[in-house]
Amino acid sequence: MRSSPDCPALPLTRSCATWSWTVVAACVGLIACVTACEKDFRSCEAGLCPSGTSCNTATGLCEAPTGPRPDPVGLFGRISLVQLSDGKLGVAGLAPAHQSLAFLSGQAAEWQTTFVAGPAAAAEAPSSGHVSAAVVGPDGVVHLAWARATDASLWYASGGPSGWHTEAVAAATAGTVGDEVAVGLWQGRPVVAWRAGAAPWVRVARRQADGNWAGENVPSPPPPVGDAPQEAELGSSLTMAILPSGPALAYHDDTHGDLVLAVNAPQGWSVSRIAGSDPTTGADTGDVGRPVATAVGQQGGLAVAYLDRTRGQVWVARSSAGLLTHQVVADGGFDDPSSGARRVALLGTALSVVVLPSDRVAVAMLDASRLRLRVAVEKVSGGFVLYDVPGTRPQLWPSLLVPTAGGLKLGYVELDAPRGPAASAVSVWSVPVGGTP
Amino acid sequence: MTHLRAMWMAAALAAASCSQPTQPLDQPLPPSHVTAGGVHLVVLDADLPQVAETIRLSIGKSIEVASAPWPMDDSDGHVLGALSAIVDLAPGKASWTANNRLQLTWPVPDLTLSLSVAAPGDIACALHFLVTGGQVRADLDVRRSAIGTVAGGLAEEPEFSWKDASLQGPDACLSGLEPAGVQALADHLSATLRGSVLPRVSAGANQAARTLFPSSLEQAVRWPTTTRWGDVGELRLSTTYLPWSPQDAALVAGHEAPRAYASLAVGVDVDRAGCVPDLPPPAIAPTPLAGQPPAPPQGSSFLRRALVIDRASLSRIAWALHRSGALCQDTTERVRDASPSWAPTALPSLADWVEGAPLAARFWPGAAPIVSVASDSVGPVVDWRLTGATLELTGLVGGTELVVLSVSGEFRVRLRLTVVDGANLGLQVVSAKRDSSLVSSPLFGGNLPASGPALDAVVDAAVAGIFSTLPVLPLGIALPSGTMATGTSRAGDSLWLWLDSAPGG
Repeated sequence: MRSSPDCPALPLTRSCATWSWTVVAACVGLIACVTACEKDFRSCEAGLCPSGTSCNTATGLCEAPTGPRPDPVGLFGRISLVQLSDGKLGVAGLAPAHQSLAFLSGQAAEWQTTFVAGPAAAAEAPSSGHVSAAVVGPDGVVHLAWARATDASLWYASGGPSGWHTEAVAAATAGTVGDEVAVGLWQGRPVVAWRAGAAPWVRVARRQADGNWAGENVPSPPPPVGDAPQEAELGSSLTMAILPSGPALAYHDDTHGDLVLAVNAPQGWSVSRIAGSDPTTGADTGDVGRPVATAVGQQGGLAVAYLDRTRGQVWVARSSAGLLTHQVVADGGFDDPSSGARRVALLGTALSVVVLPSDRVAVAMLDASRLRLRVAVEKVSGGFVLYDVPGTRPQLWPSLLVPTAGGLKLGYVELDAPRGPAASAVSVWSVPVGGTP
Repeated sequence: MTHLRAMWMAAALAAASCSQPTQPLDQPLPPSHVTAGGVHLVVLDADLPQVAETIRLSIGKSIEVASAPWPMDDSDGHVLGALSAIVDLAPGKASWTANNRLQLTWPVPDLTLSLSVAAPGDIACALHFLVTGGQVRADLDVRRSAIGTVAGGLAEEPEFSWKDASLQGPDACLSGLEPAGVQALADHLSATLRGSVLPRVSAGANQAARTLFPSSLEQAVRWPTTTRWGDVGELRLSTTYLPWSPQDAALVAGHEAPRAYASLAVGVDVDRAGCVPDLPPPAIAPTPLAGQPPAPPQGSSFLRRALVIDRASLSRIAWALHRSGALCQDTTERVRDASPSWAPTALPSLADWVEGAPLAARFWPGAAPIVSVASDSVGPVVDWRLTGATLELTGLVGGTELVVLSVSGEFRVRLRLTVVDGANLGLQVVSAKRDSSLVSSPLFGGNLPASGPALDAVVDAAVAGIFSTLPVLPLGIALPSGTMATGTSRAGDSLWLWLDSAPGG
């Protein structure tokens, strides 16, 4: 939003934002004065509007084109942004108009759509794809996992835009799969994790060389110090990262409000509470870890981004030399100009985290009070720089990606509320991470 | 999860509850934060007999009189034998004789003391000392002492007087005594009676004077506050008696009306929490105490007083609670009880978006409560109008929790006086609802044309849920020790909390 009347209306046209990025750099050079203007305005007129939107120089806002969108296949709900072997982007998620799991490839506004599961993929197939996850292997193969709500079953697909091989994950008994799914590759083979509908809540299955799935239950964490053992409900938020030693799962203990980390190694699972209760006294320190997101850096370090609902803060925990250190990424506090009071936005109910090649972390988070996305990029000197994702429409479901060519991309869903969920569209924004000190 | 949230809420708000440990106030509150005369301790004239009766019970209805054998002066060696008797105090009465002076009288039923008098070498003879028309009187005075404390006590020595007292017995018994000896004997008996009765009366009356307007009502304390959003601060409070006129240290005024009262000044200050605007305390002058008190509860047989809290003090305390951040809340209580299909019914534009019942409600107060005293189905209540406040409802959209509805405008909360831990006054929420408001959603931007019973139901449930999580809000006023609340009445803009003391309390 344009905040200063001193910012001139620059002679940029909508097409500026659609130029190639080399041309965008030239655009940036033309508008030195905009550094004095507010972020959205600067991003807009610097040509940093998300793909699929363009800069309205009259308002300084990145706006989606009016009228029908070029691609009617919008996604709605959590998405997974991946990089394909040809350098293009891929996005997996639910296409609500088709009640099917869709995979978009290409780039925003010019997405090519294939349907992986659901009625759009196979006639008579039940609705699929409300919860999905995606990962790309070094061979360029895309691996997808999703829960099918109609029969609470778990499914897996591999392939890409040219075709998909789909199979049920037999290790996950149909009727028991809940609403959290994660997928990763361990030693080249798919690993899926999911939340079951009953204890044992968190389960993992690995695809064997013969194509069969071997399942195992992840042990429950010990109760908080001083608490009597009890069967806790686990995994209302669940995420997986692949460490050199094996899969690592981070999930929420719904009973105690704690964040749990389960790390697999050849000797078995190590499961512990890493936030939400005092490790020494067991005292409750808040409802922490719902949601949670994980990523692994090139050096193998783990980053766990999570919401502390009690304090209204987004945190990140990072492993270093076997120790976890926690730091605040952002809080929801903001000054309400109408009252002069400090409000706390509901921040971080959707999260995504990546570790940059420089070993700094970036966390994308949803401001669920204003339906805006923010990306926090760690500074070399510590602390975070916050970037507001430009745009005027409600933004949801962030998914960060570090492209092989460098930089940082944020995929997300932009709502077109008057037209309904089916009109939601995937946008991709290049986070100006290079400017982060 | 609900359990967890409730535990957290309780912990976060404990700091604002009455049971929080307090520290002495290290300096007086500035006059700008003190409301003088907004709280009164009242004794109705109609209850004065109970005052007299309460003191009679503390003295003892029957007072034992005893003395050792007494060698009589000027009586040729006569000796009055050991004496043992009971003096009964009949139910008495009390009346104000000046603004600060309460006179108590108890009749003493006619009394006969049985005596034995013996001359040397003679057989003792029996006598009687008859006392008729007896009365015990005590005058109580309640003043502020030179060092500023409440100093209730006897205005002067109590009296035990009677219309007539005479020795009666066989002439032969009295004939051996000189007239001066007879007078000495009567004087001795009178002194014995007064010496036995009056110390008990003094003790009982002194205690009553201190109890009637107890110094324990005066306090200067502070306690830490924390809010849902982590603000840490301190609430400071002082309560002191006011002399009834600037020239007089007496505390009790108003005996021209059918009640007497001692007024208190209540000072409140608090560190501001970030979630509320910085607003000055309300400038509301206390209204004079109503000349005609409301009807008290029926059937009290104990010492009864009324603690009267005026709208000015209620407003000041509401301002302090608001400023402390106690009203900045979120909750899942009651919100999740809404129908899973609430959205299509309440707000059709949300129908395609919101899955299931709301998840939580968040409340942001705007201006400090506008306070009045009202009557409700539960009896007299304190009415708070919260203007410029915002209620947010969160719900699931595509599996993610969002703020789906924002309701801004005026909300109304009703609270009743209550007693916490049997000792401290607090306010407990009895109802909360939306009065008028604008509805919007971040999904759509701008205000939505929304109204109707379905929306009202979910919003009112959310408001009620927010305020149901509040603990009893402290008024910072301790009850006189040994009292219990028996009811609440309303008189204009004041709440009258009726307090009964146990006998001797």
